[in-house]
Amino acid sequence: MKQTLLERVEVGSGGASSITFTSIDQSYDALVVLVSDRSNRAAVNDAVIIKMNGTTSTGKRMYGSGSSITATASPDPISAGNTSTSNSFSNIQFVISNYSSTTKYKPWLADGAHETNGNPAYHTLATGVYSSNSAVTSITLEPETGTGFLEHSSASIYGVTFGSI
Amino acid sequence: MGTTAWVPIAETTLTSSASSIVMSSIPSGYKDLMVLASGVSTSGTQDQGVYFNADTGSNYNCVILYSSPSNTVGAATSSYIIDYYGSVTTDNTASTTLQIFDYAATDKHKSYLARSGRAASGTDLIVGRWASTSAITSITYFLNGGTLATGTTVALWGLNTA
Repeated sequence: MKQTLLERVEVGSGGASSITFTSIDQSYDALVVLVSDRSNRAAVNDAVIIKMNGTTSTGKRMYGSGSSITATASPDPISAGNTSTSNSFSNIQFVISNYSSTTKYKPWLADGAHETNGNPAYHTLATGVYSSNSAVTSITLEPETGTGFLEHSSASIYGVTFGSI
Repeated sequence: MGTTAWVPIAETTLTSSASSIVMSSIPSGYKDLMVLASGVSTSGTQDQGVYFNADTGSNYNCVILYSSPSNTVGAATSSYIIDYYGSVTTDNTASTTLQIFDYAATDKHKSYLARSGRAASGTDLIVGRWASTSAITSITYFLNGGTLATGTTVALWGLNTA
């Protein structure tokens, strides 16, 4: 498996309401999106929405806080909010299958960690689907509740090649 | 310090329905194995399973942490399955990853970690064990009671730590 970095975005001073990758190369077998983020929500935690071609996925998530475990009808992995431990950012990996297919839906899995060196801290396992046969040509990341990502948040998108056998 | 890389070993996309996909003659030179499955069933909702070295006996055990369609969480035990609520249907909306540790070892049982999910159903985290000290040389991917449909894709990688 070879992962090729397609684009990396780092949020600068002043923050950003979203992070978008456009004109995604269609020649790979899958996509991996790595996110390191902290939103401006005035709370310990937030979550990250992933939109494909501008459309929000449906799905589920299960997350543990260190003291309890919860499941909800949302595919958004838990992430860091602005009252979280200083300088702490969440880490999330999205794996998106079939993204270039024009005959299949696009299911995805996400692993998310929001470790704060304190309590609560979160680990999320989430799943979603972009229920469309259209190839994914753009991906947008947004905070679920906050209005933007804070400076030093970043996201990278990789094309995954299964490789010749 | 050496570098690590996932190296492709096998990939199959079905062009017609099949009872299983077998990845055989797996070389022994890697540390771990990783399977990415995008399964589709020909009918109904089906759990995915794997057999190692074509062993269909009672040598598989796993513990499961899951979220259900009604958004409750729970735990369960089972055998050879690699999903619980992340099972596949006819509509290609499930994803599963499976990592198998020390698959070539001949002095330990084989442990594996699966993550699966289906957007309309739930998510699963599964830790399993195959009670055998044999090196894994083949993996059979199948649906428990169902048939794999055209379009099912399974890819296998080995972790190179050289």
